[in-house]
Amino acid sequence: MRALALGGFLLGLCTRSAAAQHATLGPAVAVAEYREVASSLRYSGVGPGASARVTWHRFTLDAAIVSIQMKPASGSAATQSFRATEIDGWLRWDALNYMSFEVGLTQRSPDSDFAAQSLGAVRVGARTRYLLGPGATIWLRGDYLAGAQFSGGGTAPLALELGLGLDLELSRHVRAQVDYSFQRLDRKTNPAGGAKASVPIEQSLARLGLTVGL
Amino acid sequence: MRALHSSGLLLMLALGIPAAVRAQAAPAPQNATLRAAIQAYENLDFARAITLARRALSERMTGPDQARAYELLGFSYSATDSQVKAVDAFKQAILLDPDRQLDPNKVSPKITSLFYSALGQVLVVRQLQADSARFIGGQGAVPLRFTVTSPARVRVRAVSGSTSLLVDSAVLTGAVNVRWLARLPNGDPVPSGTWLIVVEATSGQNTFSASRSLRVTYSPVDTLPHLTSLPGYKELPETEVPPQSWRPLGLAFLFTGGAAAGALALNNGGLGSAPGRELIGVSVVTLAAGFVMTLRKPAPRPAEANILYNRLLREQLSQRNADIAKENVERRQQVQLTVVPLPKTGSAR
Repeated sequence: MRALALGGFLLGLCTRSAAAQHATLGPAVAVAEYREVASSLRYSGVGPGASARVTWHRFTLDAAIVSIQMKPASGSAATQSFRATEIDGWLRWDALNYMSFEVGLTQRSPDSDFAAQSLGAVRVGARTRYLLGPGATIWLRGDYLAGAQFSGGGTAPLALELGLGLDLELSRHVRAQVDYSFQRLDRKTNPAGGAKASVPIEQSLARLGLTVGL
Repeated sequence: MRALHSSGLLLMLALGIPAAVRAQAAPAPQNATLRAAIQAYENLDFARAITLARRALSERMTGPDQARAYELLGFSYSATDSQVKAVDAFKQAILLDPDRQLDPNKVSPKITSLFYSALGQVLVVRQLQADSARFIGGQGAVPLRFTVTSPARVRVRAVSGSTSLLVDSAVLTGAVNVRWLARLPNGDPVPSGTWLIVVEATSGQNTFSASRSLRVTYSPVDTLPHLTSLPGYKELPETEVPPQSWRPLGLAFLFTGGAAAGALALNNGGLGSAPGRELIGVSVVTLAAGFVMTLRKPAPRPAEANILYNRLLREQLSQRNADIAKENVERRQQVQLTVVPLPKTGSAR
């Protein structure tokens, strides 16, 4: 009986908030370049993905997933390809018409632990946006990647992410999203208790997606 | 005879009497003796006019004829310099017809002064008039006017059936203005129907009363229409289209430049030069979008000042309509009285 009442309450809450809620979902394609340790260890690749967005009043929840087949770039000393799956999430609160604050998560996992480092971190940052014209919004964001965890261990006291994006309303229910993000993680390790070694990681990723309003 | 005729003619010119008699008594009298008396007066045979008028008064006559006979006597006595008798005759004429007036343009000052002397010696209420009026019950009054010829205690009442309402009571003389509020003692409007305004004047043993009938009708009070807009004010457009500018392209440059500068600054030199393929791709799309938006008609944007103005206007309008609704509730509980004087039928006593 209590479960029934709780279910009714939640249903009512959802129904009540549905009017102020917008949700979009759609496929994406991403291109990325990944560098680790030294300039000679470079990968680049393309892969499919998806993105989703839910807006409720001043809050926006963004989620994106991409799966990129990374291959050694030309001139790279790398020999092994791998598939990296990255899951990103942002929860934004619009403080002003042109400014919002966000928190989120990022999780990048290569299918081979020996090919590249996996990463997990918390995002904290801000985003500014402006209306370019009818249905076109441009935005720029900066985040600090806090508490970065790597499969190979180590810490990254300096871990920043920069983003640029464009949202285009193609029709009433279809939107196009283009965004770019650049990550820099100054990872430091202390193998076998010896001197600290610097093993930096950088990734730049461009994503093009289409979303449909639900 | 000739001298008599000429002196009579002079007297006639001085007094203007025959013309005055004709003017004062337009319809021909019913009594034949009175008609003969008038004829004698017009022939300046005042002695015969007096004799015939007195004879007529001893006969059966209507009220107006009686008043006319006394007036003729007053005129004739004035012509023969019998002032006391003239005043007495005029007093009788006034008591029979209190509203009787002499036209000072047609009647000699001598006769007029004797007439007014007679007026001051009798107690009558003259020329009782009521104006037509229309007002919301309890918020207006019916103007009443009359003249009391001598100082007297005057009571004005409004009577309908068994209802008698005191309008005013005071010692008065001369021209009097009274307002009848047309309200019952409990404050309600008087019932519709025919009302008789009775003015009673009492001075010692002398009493006199005059009356006037009024028709009181009810009608609903007009309600006020609700307003759809405030007169003289109109709402302003809440959006405005900004002028076309290079701002979208400028913004695109600013954002992509910021991203490029940031990426260059963040790039770790140990990992080689900053990767540019992804940034260039997104920047090209962004700049293209900025360029297209520069060429397009700008999107309408909210005009904050107009929105605020319209909001204030709507608040004022709803306030006014609330006031109107409140007033209409009161108006629906009210009644409009229309008061019209009826043609005079009754005579004074």
